[in-house]
Amino acid sequence: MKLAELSPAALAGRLHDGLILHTPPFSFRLRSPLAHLHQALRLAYADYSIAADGAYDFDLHIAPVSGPRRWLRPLIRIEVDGARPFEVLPSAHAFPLLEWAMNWCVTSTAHHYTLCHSAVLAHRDRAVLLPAPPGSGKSTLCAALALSGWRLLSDELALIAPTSLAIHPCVRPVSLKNASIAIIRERFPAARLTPEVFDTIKGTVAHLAPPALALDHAHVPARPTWVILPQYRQGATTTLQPLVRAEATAELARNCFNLVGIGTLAFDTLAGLCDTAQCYRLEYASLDEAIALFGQLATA
Amino acid sequence: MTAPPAVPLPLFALRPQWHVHFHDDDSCVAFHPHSGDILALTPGAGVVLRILRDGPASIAELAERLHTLDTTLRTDDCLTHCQHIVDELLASTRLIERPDSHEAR
Repeated sequence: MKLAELSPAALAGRLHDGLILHTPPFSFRLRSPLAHLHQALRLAYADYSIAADGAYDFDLHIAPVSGPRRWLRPLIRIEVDGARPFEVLPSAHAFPLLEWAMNWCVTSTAHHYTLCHSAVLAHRDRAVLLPAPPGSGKSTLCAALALSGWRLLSDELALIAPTSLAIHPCVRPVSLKNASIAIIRERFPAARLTPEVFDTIKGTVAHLAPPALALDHAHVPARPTWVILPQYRQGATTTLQPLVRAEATAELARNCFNLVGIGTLAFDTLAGLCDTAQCYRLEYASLDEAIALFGQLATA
Repeated sequence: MTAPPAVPLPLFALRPQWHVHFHDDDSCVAFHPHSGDILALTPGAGVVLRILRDGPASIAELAERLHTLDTTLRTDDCLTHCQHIVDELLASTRLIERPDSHEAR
């Protein structure tokens, strides 16, 4: 059953009792009474499989904070498997908080993968990793490529199998920040985005629902073929420069969540991945030029 | 110009567990599993790179992190100095992969 098949009232009922949301390879049990969170879930996860019961990996509960201040400034708190790893936030931030918590669940536990902060897309079975720090234009580029025929595996997390180096999908909504929200809305008017949430720690945030191609292949891994370090710079000419493999490995390592945790296994994975992939540094200002360049890479 | 500081002989004895991987483009990358430090070494530039976990990388920080604490380093000196460090690193580390083309190192 898909989440979109539930009426708003039915979704609210499920989220009261506990709704299991399958985002392969992980499943989350969600509970919350917040209507605006329900609305965002309906937009961002409409085409995801859900269940009323069964196995799940993480239990998340988002609820209002009680107390007299709730009348002046409603706050919410999230519990993850009964613990409270996050600060309370304004109620309006519920959906971004849920997304951050879901990411945190994966990065703090899924150590059977080497985990990198990287967007991952694929052309057929060939994956491109886009590791980059915030502000690099990674998510904007990722969203644009996902809406231009590339298969989205993840906007945030590369799940790399240590032995095979296969990249496993973790298809979730793409987090767009600030100016990138309008850029994606204007260039892809049919894209489905959640309402904007203002004044979060990352500025204004909205989430793009994954395209059908990504969800249809949510269990299909891809092989690492390109590692591209993207950097948006206003006015820049679009350039794709080869990158020595050691720098690419170091950049992946810089963005690796469990490098110290699993140590040399993660290092060997990243170095091995960069042995097999073509490595580049991309600077761009024009999304159209960047998309065209990725098209050339895919057909080369 | 200030002379590069002498590299203390036991420099890498303090951190003997560097793990090095040689890529086929003659670059190599070294990883210190306890600290999470990463060094990426390129054939032309000789040095440098990234230090993880503790903010921005710099040559001076690299030297400091490698236990050459009582030195005042300027950029030119650092490049020379770090090349020594790298040579020592490669000589003393446990290699996980060393293609024939790198035997001369």
